[in-house]
Amino acid sequence: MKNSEIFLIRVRRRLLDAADKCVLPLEFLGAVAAALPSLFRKKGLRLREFRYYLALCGSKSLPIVLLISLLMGGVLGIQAALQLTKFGAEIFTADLVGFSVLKEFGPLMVAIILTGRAGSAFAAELGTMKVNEEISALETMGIRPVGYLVLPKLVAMLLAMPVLTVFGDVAGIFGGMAIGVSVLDIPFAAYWSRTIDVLDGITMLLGILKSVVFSLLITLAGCFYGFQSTSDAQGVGRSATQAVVASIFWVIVADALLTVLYSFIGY
Amino acid sequence: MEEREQNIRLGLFVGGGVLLLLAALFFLGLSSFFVSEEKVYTTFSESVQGLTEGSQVKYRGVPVGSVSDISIAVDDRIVKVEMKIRLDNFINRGTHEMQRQKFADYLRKEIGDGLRCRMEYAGITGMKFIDFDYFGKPEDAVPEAPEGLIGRDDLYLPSVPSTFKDISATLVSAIDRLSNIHFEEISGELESSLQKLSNLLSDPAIRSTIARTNEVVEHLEATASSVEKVFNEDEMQTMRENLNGALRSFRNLAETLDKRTRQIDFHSAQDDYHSLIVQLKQMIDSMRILAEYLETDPQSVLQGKGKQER
Repeated sequence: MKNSEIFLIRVRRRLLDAADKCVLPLEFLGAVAAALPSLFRKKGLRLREFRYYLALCGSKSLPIVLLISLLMGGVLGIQAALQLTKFGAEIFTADLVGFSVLKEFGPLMVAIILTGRAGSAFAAELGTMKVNEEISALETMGIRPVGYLVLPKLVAMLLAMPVLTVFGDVAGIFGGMAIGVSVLDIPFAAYWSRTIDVLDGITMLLGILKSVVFSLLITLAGCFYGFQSTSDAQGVGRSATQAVVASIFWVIVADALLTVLYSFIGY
Repeated sequence: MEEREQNIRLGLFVGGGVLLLLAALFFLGLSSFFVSEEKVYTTFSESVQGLTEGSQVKYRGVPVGSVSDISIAVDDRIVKVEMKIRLDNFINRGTHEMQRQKFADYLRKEIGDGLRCRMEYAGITGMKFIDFDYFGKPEDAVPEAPEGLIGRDDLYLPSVPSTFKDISATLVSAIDRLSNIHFEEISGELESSLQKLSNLLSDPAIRSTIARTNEVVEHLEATASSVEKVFNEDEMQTMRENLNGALRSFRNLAETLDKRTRQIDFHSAQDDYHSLIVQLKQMIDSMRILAEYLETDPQSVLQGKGKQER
């Protein structure tokens, strides 16, 4: 066989591998979509697992979400104050903090926290199951592993993340308010009045809609890389890392796209 | 038991989140669904740059509503602005219909008293708000709404030009006036006047006058200084009082003389009159001598002639 033929065979194999890698996420997405109707069947959702993941992603993540959002709001408030005091426009700190938290930082910070807490956990859990051949066992028993293992996580995340975002939004606004009242000496009533004057419910709901999209991306990325894990201990670690990196990347991309989309409707 | 606790925790988490969301939505705008509002219209014949939907409407600085729509009346070349006013700020009793009726009556009455609206800057950002205030006077005629733009039953609040438009008009007028001034002509005249002034100042007579004036001033200053050295404030006061007393005595004397001269017969008292004149002349001479003496030796007023000799 000539060298040129060997080269072409290698290129063909690489291309097929790349195509496989591109198709794999789509295949996984299709499998999840196909399993969704099972949610509406009797006992379609495994409640025990759902409850476990809801606690993991939701109530157990609440303290760290509240703390980070509060600090983020405070940091935004300080940065806004430093610039706005130059123009005697301290009161606009409420606008900046409110809009930044509701539209961007609230959903984004919660998404990043949950990527670290839940996305990596999903990938590691599924990777370990693969190492232990539990996934093969499920397939042997005629159970579709994607529907069986992914749906409880997905539903739990879809519920937990918007709720966490609401908590994060409120904590962020109060963080900014604490800075506005304590550092800038803006009266609490004035800051509060300004905040509820400039913000509206639609802005908050659009932020929560972002968090729904983020929760989908984090769960799918975590579960996908978990299923793609190789059957060794190092493979589990790699899949967890890949899940976190991919989740954050796709969350940022989705955030940018949604921001552009929202701008078309005036938000 | 553990499962029960976990359920309670999840219930608190989800229930708390939903309640928080509802509360936040209520505060951030959904509460406006339960607020009675009334639309008020106005028109502007100037640019509304900086005014947007959602811009605040204030009554004498108090936020009472917001701009809900801005449209252009192409034929009239004016901008129509629709505002939503919260009725609770004006009438907080009765049903919505009663509030609307009372507000309409109130607004019409206030328009008669001079209530108008005007665009104002909301800050340094260029954003504007609409301010309701009594920019008109009660005796002013109420401007009518442009025909066909505002419905018969709609509330119309006339607008007045904004202050920045006034400032702009004043500036334009000032610039027009400035452009009418012939600066070149004025400059030429000024130059000619300065030349004449220079010629005048170089005249030898003027120079001599100025020099003499300087000398006089110097003499005056020297005199003042010597007087200041001799007399202090108290002495001057004493002298002034003495002089006042002398003048009063002199006036009394003159009055007495006047009375006497009216009473006496001049023909019969001609000799007496003559002797009186002589005495008066002597007295005046003595006073002149005294004055000359004082001029040469002012300290004698205080120390006396005898004391100085000693």
